[in-house]
Amino acid sequence: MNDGYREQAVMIGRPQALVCVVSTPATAERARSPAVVFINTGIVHRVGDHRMYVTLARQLANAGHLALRFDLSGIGDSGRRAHAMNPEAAALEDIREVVDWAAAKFNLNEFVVVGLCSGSDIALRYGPTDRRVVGLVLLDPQIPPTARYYINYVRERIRRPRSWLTFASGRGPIWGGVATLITSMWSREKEPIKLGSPADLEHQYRTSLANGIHLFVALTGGELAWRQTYREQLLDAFPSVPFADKLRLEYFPTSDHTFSSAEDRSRLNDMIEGWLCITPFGHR
Amino acid sequence: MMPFFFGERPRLLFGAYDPPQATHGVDRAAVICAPWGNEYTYSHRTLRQVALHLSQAGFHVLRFDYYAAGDSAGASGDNDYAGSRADVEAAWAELKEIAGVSRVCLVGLRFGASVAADFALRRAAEVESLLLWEPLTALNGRTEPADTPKDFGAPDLDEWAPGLPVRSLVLTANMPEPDRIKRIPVNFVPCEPPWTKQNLLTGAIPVKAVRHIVNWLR
Repeated sequence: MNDGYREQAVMIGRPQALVCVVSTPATAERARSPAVVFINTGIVHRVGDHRMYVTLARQLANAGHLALRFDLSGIGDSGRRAHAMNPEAAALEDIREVVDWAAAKFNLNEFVVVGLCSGSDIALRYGPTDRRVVGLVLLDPQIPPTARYYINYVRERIRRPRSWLTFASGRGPIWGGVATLITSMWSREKEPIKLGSPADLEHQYRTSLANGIHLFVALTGGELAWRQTYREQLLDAFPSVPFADKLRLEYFPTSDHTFSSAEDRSRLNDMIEGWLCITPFGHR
Repeated sequence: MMPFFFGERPRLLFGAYDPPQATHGVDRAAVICAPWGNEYTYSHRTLRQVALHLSQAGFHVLRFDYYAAGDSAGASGDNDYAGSRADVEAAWAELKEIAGVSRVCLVGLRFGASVAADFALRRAAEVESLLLWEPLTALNGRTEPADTPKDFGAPDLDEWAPGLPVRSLVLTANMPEPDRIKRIPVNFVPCEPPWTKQNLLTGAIPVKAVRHIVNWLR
């Protein structure tokens, strides 16, 4: 490890079952606020795809921040919880235990939670539940499709012969979107808000912003383009959410979902470090 | 499981130690050598299961990340074959000290099989058993995947076999022909390869292969 940071492997939680690697600045007596917590991407263990969490954690520790990458219970090296909980509740409890541990050990009370894909969805759900969370870094979070999404999607797919076969077979997101639209038009009863539904996501964003949480959202447009097809899709999907200056929105048009390109990861890491540096987290 | 860093700065390595969960009167130990790159990420879940089951069978078990991989020190790309081979030696020494044993078993998957075999070739007398799981070698005339770095040590097992430990085994999910490389038996255990991206998406563990490894080492 170079001179800018130190790393320590610890077990956290009650009982101590969460495996966590803590990156701390080597020189500063006290880490800069906020501390940064990384959430697993699916079942990829704490190092992240292409080791991206390791690289970012070390870069942030070099810049003075405490960075914690850990495995949610049942993922990576962490053990399962003794008592059965649904995965989402368990994940939120795991994050709380890590934040509690770091807050007590390092005397910090401001945290930024980072997640990619499902990890960003968990981060978005956790943020509003903990007043110590001042920022969220959401990499390719779930965003509902919009009209412009479908236009872009069709325009892209129409050039590919294979897409015509998929369409003719009645599969693919276009047919799924049509089915959803028809169902919603004929449904007379107002359905309860489902987890991960557009209404639920909008609620999470609204609550986060109401709690003063700053958002860094990075979207990728390469590869399959099955999540989003343009930069402003987040804004169009939630037109009434008052993101205003609380949102930093970045778009990587040629990046694939896991930021396979080292250059893209490097650019992303620099953006996040810069955002942590200039964002007025304390002004809530 | 106990996570820790070992080795000397700047080459600090991440280790995950599982103590034995059963006792048979004699301490036994196993070092698990992971694949490289994406194969390392995809197979992490399976190798953890190998470690847990070996631990339950009474082994001291150490998994570790090579320098410039996983949680170990080093920037991605700042690695070479000789360095990874040295990392196996460091892990070996660490586990010997933890477990208080003189001989250790080695399990290597893909690239891990290369460096495990390389280490065992030089220290055959100190290796209790050597298990090479789908090594990057030309079994049945097959070659390693195109994205495997060419300088990443696909051992010529035909050439190496005479010098490897007496108790060695090659495990493959593909029908072997022949069923041994020189004197080293090749066992065929059909399973979904745990080092592919598909395995990460499904989360499946190749249970038969894991059992085969534990039973053979036991």
